[in-house]
Amino acid sequence: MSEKKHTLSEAEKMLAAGYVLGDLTSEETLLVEQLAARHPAFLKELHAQQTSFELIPQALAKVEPPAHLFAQIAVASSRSTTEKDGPEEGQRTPTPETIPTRPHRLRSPQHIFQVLAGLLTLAALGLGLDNLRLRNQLQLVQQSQPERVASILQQPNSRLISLTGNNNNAAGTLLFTPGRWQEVIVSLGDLPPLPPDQIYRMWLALENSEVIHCGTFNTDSEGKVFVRFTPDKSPPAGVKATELFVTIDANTSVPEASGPRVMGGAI
Amino acid sequence: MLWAQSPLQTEPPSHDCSRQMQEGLNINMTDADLIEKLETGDPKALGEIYDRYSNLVFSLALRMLGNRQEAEDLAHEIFLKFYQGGNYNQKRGSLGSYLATVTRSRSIDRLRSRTNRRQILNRWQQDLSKAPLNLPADHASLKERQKRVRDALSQLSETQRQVLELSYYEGLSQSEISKRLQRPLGTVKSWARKGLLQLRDQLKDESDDV
Repeated sequence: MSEKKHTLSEAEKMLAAGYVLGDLTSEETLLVEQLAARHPAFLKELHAQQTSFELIPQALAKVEPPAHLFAQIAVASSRSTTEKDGPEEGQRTPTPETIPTRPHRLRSPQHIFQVLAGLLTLAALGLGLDNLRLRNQLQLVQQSQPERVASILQQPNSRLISLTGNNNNAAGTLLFTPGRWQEVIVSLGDLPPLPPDQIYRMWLALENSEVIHCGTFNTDSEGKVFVRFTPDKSPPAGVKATELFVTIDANTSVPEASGPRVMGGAI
Repeated sequence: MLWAQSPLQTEPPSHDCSRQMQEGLNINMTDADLIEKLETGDPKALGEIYDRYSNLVFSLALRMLGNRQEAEDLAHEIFLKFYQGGNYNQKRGSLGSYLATVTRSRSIDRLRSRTNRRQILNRWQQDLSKAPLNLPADHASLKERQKRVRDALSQLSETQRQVLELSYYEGLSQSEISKRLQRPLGTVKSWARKGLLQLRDQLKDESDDV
C-alpha cells in the first residue's frame, strides 16, 4: 500500500472519529495508532478531526467576564513575579502556587516600574476607566509616588475588594494590603453626581462594630473617581475589618457614618 | 487627598481592555508575537492575550460549570498559569484551541469532583438563562471562526449535535450519553462519529490548518 495512493476509506475515517471521541476498544485504539504511524494521510485526518472537535466551543455565545477579573489576574501575576524574584526579609509568605514563574524577571527598579505601569493600566481597565483619564492618572502616579502603588502591589497578600452600589449602578474596586490600612487605593464609577455642598465619605467597618473614616472624595462629571486614601486610624490589633462602605455627607460636617449608604463591599 | 481628579471623558467608557492595551502594542500582532513579548516580560502582552481569549475561556467555563463564580475562578487560574509559563506549544495548534482545551479539561476535572450532577445541571440552566451576551468580538478572524463553527454545527442533525455537545461540554463517554438519552450505544456512537466527520468536512479550512 503506497502512501501516495493511500486514500482513506469511510471505515478508517469513522475509526479516527471514534479515537477522537474516545469510544474505541483497546484493539481499535491500537489499530488507529498503527495507522497513524504508517500513513501520514491518516494522521492528518486524525488531527483534522481532533481540531474540528476542539472548535466546538468557538460557536458559543460569548459571555464577557466580569470587569474586575483582569485586575485580579494582573495583581496575582505581579505577586508571582515578585515571589519568583525572591522574598524580602520579613515580608514574604510561602505561596500555595507551586507553578514555576517565568524565569526572566528581575526586580530592578526600572523593571518594577514597567510592570507596575502595565499592571496599573490593566487594573484600571478592569475597573472600567477610559483611556484619557487612565493616561492622566498613570502620568500622575508615575510622576508622584509610583513606589506607593508598588508597595501595595508587591505585597504577597494584597487584595482587591469589589464595591457595588446600593440601589444604583455604582461599582468599583479597592486595592489594599490586609493589616496595612494606612494606605488604600480606590477606583469607583457610576456614582450619582452630588450637589456642591455634599461629599462622599468612605468607611471601614470592623467586627467590633467600630467604624473608621478612610477619607472623603468627590467624583468627576461622569461619576468616577480614582483616589488614594491614607486613613489616620487603623483597626486595633486582632480586630478584623468586615466591610467597606460609602456614604453621602455634608461637606462641612464632622465625619459621621450615619449618612445614606450608596455603595459597599464585604472584605 | 485626591490622587487624581479625572478630566472630562472624551471617549465612551469601556470595560474592554483591548483598546487600552493597544498602547505600546500593535493590535495586529500575532499570538506568537504576543507570546514572545510576554516571555520578555512585557505585561501589556498578557492584557492583549486576555482581550483576545477571555470571552472564549469564560464562556466555555460558564457553559460547562454553569456557575459564574466558578467560571471566574477557573478563568483566573487559566490565565495566571499561562502567564506563569504554561505548557502551550505553538506547533501543536492555535492559542485559542489550546486555551479552550485547557478550559475544557479543567472544567471536566471540576465537574467530576462534584457529587450531585443533576443539581449542577439545573443551576447551569438557570445561570445560562441569565447570562448576558457579550459585546462583539474584537477580531474579525475570531468572529468569522465563530460564524463558521456555528454554521457547521447547524448543518448537523439535532441528535448529532446533541451527542457531540454532551461529549464536549460535559465530558460524557458514549456509554454515559447512551444512558442519558436512553438510546442504544451503537446508535449514539454512530451519531457522534458521523457528526464529527460532517463537522470536519464543514470546517475543512480550519481543521486542515494544523
